[in-house]
Amino acid sequence: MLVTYWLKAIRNKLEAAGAKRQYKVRPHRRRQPLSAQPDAATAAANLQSALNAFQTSVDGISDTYNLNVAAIDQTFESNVATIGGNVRTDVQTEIDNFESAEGTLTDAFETLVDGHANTAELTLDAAEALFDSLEGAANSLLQNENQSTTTAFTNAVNGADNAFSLVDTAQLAILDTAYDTAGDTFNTTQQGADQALNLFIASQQTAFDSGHTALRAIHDGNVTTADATHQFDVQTAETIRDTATSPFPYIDYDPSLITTTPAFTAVLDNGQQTYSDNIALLDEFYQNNIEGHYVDYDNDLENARNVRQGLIDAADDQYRLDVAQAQSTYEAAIATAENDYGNAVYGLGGLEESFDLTVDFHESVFDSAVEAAEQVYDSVVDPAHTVFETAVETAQEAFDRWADGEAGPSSTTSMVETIKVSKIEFFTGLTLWRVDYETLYSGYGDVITWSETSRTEPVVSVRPGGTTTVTTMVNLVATTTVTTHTANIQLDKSSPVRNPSGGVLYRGPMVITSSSTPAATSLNPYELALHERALLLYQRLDQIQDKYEGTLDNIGQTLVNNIDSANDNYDNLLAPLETGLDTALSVIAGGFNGFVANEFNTYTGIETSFWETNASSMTTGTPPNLTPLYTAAKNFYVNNPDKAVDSTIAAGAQIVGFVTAERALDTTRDQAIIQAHYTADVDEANAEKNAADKVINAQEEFLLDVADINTDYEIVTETRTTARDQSIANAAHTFELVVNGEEETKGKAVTLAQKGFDYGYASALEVFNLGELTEWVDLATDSINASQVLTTALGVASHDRLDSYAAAGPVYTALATAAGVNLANDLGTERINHTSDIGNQGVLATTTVATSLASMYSSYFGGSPDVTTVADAWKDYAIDLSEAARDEYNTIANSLGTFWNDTESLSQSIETLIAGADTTYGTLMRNAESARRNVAITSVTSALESFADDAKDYADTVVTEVRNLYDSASGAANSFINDVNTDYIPYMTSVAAQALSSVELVIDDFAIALRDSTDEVKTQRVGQFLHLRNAFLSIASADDPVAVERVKDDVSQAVLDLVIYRDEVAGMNVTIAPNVTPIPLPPSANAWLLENVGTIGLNGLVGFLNGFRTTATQVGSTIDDVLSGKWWDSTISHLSFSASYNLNSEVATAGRLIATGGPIFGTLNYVGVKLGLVTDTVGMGLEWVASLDPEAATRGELSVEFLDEVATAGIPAGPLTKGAAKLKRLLKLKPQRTVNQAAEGIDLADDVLREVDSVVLERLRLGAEIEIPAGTRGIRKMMSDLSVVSGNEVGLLRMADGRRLLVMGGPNAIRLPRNTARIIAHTHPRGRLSFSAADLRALNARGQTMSVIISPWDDIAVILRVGGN
Amino acid sequence: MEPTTLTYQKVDSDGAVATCTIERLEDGSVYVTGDEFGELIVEFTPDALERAIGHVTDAGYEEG
Repeated sequence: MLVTYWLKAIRNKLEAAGAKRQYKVRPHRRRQPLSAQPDAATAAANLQSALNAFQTSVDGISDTYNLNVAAIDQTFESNVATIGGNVRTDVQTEIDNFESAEGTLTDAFETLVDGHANTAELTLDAAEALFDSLEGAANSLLQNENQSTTTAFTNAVNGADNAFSLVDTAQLAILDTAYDTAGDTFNTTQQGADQALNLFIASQQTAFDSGHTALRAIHDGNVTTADATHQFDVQTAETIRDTATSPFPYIDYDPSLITTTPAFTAVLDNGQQTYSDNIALLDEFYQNNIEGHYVDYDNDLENARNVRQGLIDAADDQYRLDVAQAQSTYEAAIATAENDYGNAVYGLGGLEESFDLTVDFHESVFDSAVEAAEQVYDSVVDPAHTVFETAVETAQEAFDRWADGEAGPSSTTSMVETIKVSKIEFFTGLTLWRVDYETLYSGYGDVITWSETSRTEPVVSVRPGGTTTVTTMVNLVATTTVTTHTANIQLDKSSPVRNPSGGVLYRGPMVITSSSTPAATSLNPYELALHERALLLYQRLDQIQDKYEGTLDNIGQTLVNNIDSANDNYDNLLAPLETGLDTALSVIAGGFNGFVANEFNTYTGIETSFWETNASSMTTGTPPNLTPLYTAAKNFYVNNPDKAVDSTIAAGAQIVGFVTAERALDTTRDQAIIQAHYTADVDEANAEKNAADKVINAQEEFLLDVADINTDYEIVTETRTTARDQSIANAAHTFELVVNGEEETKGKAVTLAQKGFDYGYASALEVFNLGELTEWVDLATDSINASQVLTTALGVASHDRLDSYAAAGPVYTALATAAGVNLANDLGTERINHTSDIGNQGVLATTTVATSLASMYSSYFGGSPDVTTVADAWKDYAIDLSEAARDEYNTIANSLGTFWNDTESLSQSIETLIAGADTTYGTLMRNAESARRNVAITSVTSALESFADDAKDYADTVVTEVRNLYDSASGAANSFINDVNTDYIPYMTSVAAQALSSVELVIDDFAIALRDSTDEVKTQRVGQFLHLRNAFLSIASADDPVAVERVKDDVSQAVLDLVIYRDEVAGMNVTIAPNVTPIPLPPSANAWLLENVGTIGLNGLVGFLNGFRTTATQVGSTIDDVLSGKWWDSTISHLSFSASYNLNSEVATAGRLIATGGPIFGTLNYVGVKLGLVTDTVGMGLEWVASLDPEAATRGELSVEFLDEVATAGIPAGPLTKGAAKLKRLLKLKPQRTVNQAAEGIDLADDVLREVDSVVLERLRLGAEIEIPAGTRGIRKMMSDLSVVSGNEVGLLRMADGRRLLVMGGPNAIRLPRNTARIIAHTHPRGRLSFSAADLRALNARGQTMSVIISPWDDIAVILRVGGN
Repeated sequence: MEPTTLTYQKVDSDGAVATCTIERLEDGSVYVTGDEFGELIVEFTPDALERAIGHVTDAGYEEG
């Protein structure tokens, strides 16, 4: 161990002494200088001068030291920086070279893979093309079949449509014809009716005309009759007149005889006036009557119209009622028909339900068929899948067994160590061993080997031909193994050499082969190799450690020896000086003691004489005169100090001389000890450097072996993984072929079932459609019948209304006719009456005139009676003419009613004819539609069946071709995997080899850098040791003058104190005071004397001066006693206080001794200055040197942890990176300047290797929130590293939408984005593993019960419960 | 350390007043809440409170 115990001890002692000195210091009593003052002043001045010179020297030494150390540090830092730069450059070069080589290999591999991929794609393309071709053909066939089916269906439907259309057309024609016929019939009928009507009218007109003619004839007859009557009457009258006149033939009736007479004229004028007046009255009366009859007639007509309108309105109302009833009846019939149709088709147990049941049945048949196909499929595929899974499991288990280190069925895991004698030194017999290791995995044929070459060791004791026992493999790794199992030693006996220790030694090759089952049997050979290799490294490190500690022990022992030698030399040279000093002091002390004894005797004699003289006075109570006694006492106390002054001066001179001589010896001794420590330090630095190099070498070899094993491991793992994957791929290919075949079989079964279902469906559909058609026919029939009923009802209603209309006409006509008849009658009557009245008036006027005439005429003629008879005949003739007109009107009215009745009969017959034509038409159309739908239904069934047939054929073809395609694809994929795997192994092997080469070079670079760094550290340390030694060497002698002057100063001060005391005593007026202390001295002097001189006498004084050292040896050891803090313990201390003395006094004395200085003061000061130097100027160096132990400890700890990490990592993916990271963290934990600088190279390289983290870091620094998918591994480590590198807090948060985000805050601060649902974890850069109050606030705000805190420097994480607050 | 609560406010362009609260807790750590920027946790350092205040004032908040 690099321990500067001496420096530490010095420092500790000085600190302790300094503390005590500081505590014990109290003001030094000084009196005014008297006679010894100049000497004391001179001594003090000389001391101060010496101190100044010492300080100047120390300052110079310190400056030189600092400069030298600074230069060394600068050189060190420069060299370390260069090393770091070199290793970074070298590592980057290796990385570049690797990436270049890897790129070339990868390009070549990718070219091969592309070729295989192209082949696979070509195969797949060909298979797909074939599939497309066959599928296209099948599809074309399907399309053609579908087209044919569709065409047939279309044709059938079109045929049906055509038939329907023909029927439709025919029926339409028939209907049209019927309509036409009906129209014609109607028209004919109508024409007939019209004609009949016209005929009837004509006949009626004829009848009327006939009637009218008859009436006219009657009338004419009547007129003729009347004329005849009139003629008869005239003739009668004429007859009468003639008769009457006949007797008067002689009368020649000549009215003119009278008419010309004035009398007659007057009569005539009067008669005419009367007649005109009467006619006017009759006309007026006649007109009034006529108007009244017309009013009556109009009223009668109005009444007739009202009656007729009432009849028409009643007929309309009845018609509406009849129509509504007919409509209701029709709608009820339609509703019933539709309901019947709905129930039959869609109702419970109807056609649709039957259809659904039938379809369900066919679906169940289909499902059963599919299920059966599935069962057949599963019965074949499941065993095939089991076979596949078994193959996968077998391949995986085989791989796992290999990976887990489980031996194969007939294999074992073992390790063979072959130890070969590499070289034997002939004269010494020392042997250089080479140990080869092999881990065997016989079941799989894996063999991993590595070799180690031992250092030169004593020879193995071998007994050829006998049982082999390896006994002296002390520091070889093989020791523990070889001795635990039987070794097979093969010796080359051709060149034996003699073993200097006895027996025969054979020059190599001597092979000792051993085989064993390692303890760690759960590892595969590579893990086993790593494990064993790590154990080997531990063993080697233990060896290095043991060797290193042994070397340190030797160095420590040499140091102790050198220190002992220096002390011995010092003691030997000091002994004569001590003897001389003791002798001189003894002489002086003897002289002083003799003087004091003489003075004491003198005083005693005086006191004895005094008391003998004054004895009585002591009893009488009268005090004697004490002056003589006090004078004697004063003389005693004056003479003794005076003598003490002389003796002190003399003793002081001796001590000064002794100190002067002792200082030189002490300097020589100190420098020898310093040199011894320096030598030990340098040796320790070299040993440490040597050990460090060996550790580095061991680690380098370990890493190289690990890299080699890892490469082999990676290669064989990839090979076995590829083999496993290939086996699985082959099994999968086999399984896929089975699946494809069964898919085809199942597919065809399903298509067959589908076809059956389609047929069933078509049949059910046909049944449904036919049934529905029947129901539709019924519905249509019912609708037609209802329509017919409706039409008939409407016709009847219309007929009834028309009948009513017709009935209303005659009523009206009768009324109107009656009115007309009445009017005619009235008019006739009025006319008759009027005519009669007129006739009467004419008759009257005629009579009057005639009478007058006759009278006059008679008178003229004498009153002849004959003339009177002739005038009466003319009056009867006018009345007969007015009666003929009344009979003519009645005949015309009767003819018109007959005409109307005939017309209504004709209209009813036409309506009946049209309704019959409509019924005939609907029935025919129903039959035509039914026929058409029948054809469509059967055609659909046929088409569906054809579609099903064609679809099955197509599906069967496609299923088969799909299988062929899948088989081809699976084969192509399997071939591709085979080819890629075949090419992948050499590619991966080449890359791994290239990586191994690069890793080995990187390891070499780091090892070189580490060795260079440790060399620089050693150089720096040795250089600092050298300058520290030189500083100490210079300081060792620099204080010697100070010590000498210090002694002189002390002596002069002591002398001065004695002189002052003596002078004080000598100048004292002794006064005697009764009952007081008999020594009336000043308190200070009295106390001093009582404690020192008065008690111990000159010996005490001398002891005071020399530190109560009774021997020179003791004097020389006083420093150590003081420094060791043991001065107060008289049993072990060289400070020879008398055991009889009071302890308190001793302590006080010693304290004053230290406080006031003394012979040791110079040394003390020297040490104090040294302490100051250490503290003030060399402190850095000392601290640094003192820190070498922690550094060594840290390095050892690092090595162990590094190796642990490598070992526990199993397959150390980047062990160097992990080790470097660990080293860096530990170094930052315990920052050591030099070691940090040495590690800079690793840091730089490590930073390069951690480039990925740098990218993440930069993103986070820029404020990015990086999403971390669930299941991401190593997130804690990432957070820890990011926090270390950045110094910032890093948090892992879960957001409300479920994402996990990685965020970075600032130093000791972190921001939680909005919608932060959970704080999963965050770092505390300062390492505090507890929640802050702010953390708790944020956690409680989310109801969190726990969270993770990561201490990045420790690289540990803890899950903490929130726990309230 | 005596817990302290400070309130800062900011008036947005639309006149709405946004508020954030700065709490220095008993262990010297600081917890900042505000709708605009979520939460801020500042572990104890001698200048933790000043850093928190600087954060919110940089965001335009003023003590209110």
